[in-house]
Amino acid sequence: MARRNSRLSWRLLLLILLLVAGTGWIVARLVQVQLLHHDYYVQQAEEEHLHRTIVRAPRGAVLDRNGYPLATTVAAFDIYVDPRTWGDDATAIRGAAALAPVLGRDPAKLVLDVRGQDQGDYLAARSLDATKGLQLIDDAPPGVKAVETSLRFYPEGDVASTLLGFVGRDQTGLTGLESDFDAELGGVPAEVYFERDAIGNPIPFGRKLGGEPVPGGDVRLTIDRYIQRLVEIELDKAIEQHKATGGSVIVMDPMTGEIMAMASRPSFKLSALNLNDPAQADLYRNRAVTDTYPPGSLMKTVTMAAAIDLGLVTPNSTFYDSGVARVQGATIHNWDYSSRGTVTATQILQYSLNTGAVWLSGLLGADNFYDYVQRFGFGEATDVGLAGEGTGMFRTNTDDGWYPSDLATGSFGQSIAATPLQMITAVSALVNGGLLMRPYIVKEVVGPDGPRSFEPVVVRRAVSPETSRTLVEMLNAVVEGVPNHLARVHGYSVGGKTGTSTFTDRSTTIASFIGFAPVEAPRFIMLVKVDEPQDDRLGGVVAAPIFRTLTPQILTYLGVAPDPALVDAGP
Amino acid sequence: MAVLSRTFARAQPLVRLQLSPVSIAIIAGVAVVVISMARMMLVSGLATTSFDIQSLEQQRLERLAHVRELERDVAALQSLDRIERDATERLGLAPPQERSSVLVNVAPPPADQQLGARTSSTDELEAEEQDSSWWRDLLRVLPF
Repeated sequence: MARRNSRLSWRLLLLILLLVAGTGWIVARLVQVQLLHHDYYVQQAEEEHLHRTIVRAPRGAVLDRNGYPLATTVAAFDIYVDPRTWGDDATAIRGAAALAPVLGRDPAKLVLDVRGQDQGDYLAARSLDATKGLQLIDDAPPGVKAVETSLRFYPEGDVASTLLGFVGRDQTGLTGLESDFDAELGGVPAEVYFERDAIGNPIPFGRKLGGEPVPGGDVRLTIDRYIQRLVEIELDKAIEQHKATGGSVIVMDPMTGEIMAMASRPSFKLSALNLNDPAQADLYRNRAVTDTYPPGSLMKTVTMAAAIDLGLVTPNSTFYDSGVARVQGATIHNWDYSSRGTVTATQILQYSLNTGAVWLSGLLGADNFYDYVQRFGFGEATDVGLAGEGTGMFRTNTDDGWYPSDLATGSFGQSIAATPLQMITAVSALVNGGLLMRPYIVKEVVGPDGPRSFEPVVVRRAVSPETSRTLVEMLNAVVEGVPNHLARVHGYSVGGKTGTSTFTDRSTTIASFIGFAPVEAPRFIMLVKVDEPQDDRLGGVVAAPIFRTLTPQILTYLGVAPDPALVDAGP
Repeated sequence: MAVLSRTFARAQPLVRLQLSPVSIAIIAGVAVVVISMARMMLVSGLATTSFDIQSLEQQRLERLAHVRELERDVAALQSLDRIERDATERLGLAPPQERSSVLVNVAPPPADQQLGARTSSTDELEAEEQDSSWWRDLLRVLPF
């Protein structure tokens, strides 16, 4: 009996030990989970229960100089359908009958598509119009969810598309001003955490943490929508008429550097944007800012200004034009192979004599010429604030591979590359009293921290005020001193210069004209550039008429009355 | 000591509440029901309030969507395309084919007869400045 009791005691002891060990292990594990690794498991539980989502901030608007919206954000709805709810035939038919007409889809096809969705909700429509989205919310068809989103809206249609750029599906700026000012326009999104149930849906009365997003600010441009539209209409007409490959027009206030209009072609249509089409990728850039070209005879204004500023010539200084200039074995002709004999400095510009420009460059010398070229901002970015801006290119006499012929051809704009924006900025300095202004396109940014204004900035003095006055008179004589000049505008005194850029590898040209009005107190300066016109190759024939068409419309819009004396004089 | 104890006991007789087990069970049951009802009402009130909040948030979103919709309509209505379309289609207007300038050779009126609409506010301010009274001077002297 004693032996049996001893065996039982041993078994009992073993059981007790096992129980104690098991209990100890559980207690140890509890201590480990609840005390030692408490924070870790709490975090895991939070991650399991709390769902993080980003609430996008409403994107600000891009406004024109008068406050009219060029791009703004409107409400839209993404429409989802829960396939499980539509598993039942009666429910699916009822839901499809309500939803399909709003989306403009076939109900039977919609049911099939929804049921074909393997996982998650079926996206029936993206960025649906707010009116239709709200109607669906009111009707509440079974299984249909309307999730609010936003959509970029362009009230002026496709106007200024390359300048404005566009946003992606996540409302982030991808090109143009939308990208350049994304930080200001985009606002600050908010992080929101909410409790969710086992299948991931938000718990209606659960915790919700996080703040409100800070809405994006509005960006007010110096662009005037009316002038921009005028410019684009005329540029499109000219490109079609001359069967050109593209072109650019910039309208600027020469006194301040404010850009009033900037159009470039080819471009894309905001209304027909297709990011999946690789052919469209080449249309996104703003060629007036990014692409360089040889400015041709427009450069003669800079060469002339340099020579006058240094006192080497006056408007009445004479030069004998034999029709040919020879520079180290290279022969340079006038654009029309003419020989004008003795001409004045003003007539060099009027007849756009290459030989005259070469003569001026000889008077200046390489050091002075390139010094003035740099003073006018060539070879450096204008810092207009737009991405991808070209700086231009030219060789100076201190660079390797420079030849004296570079100086000669550079004097009439053939061995130099500049962007249209650089060119108009340079000639603005000739018109405004001699100051090189920094061009700018954003007038004001209204952000969460209040409005931030942009003011005109003087980069440097390019020429003296006297030289500027002289050049204004000379450029006025270029247009009004030449009979039947196609840039002449009835009722207004204007000034300007034609340009025709030629190439060694092809016969096509770039036809351009730069002009300003009125001469007494210029309200705007305009650069017109037409690429590779097929019917005529000259700037005076292709580009100057665009200036003549646009000038009276712009001046009337700006409230500049015609000069009575010029009105009486007749066209 | 025994007398004292007896006297004290007499002065403050002990009240004994004797409840039967059934009574206790009934009271406990009532308490449970009351507490449950209170909790249910609390939860119900919370649920109703939460639904109200959700509903109001939804209404707010819808109103915001309406506002943005109206802003879009305003922007679309004042667009140049729409103005031109209305001018040509509804009003039957056409772009001008030629421009006529009319010179009005009328001499400006004498300075004392000119309408001062654009400068009237400035004039009033100047008049106010000249019409300086002692209290106005005092206000200017005050440091705040």
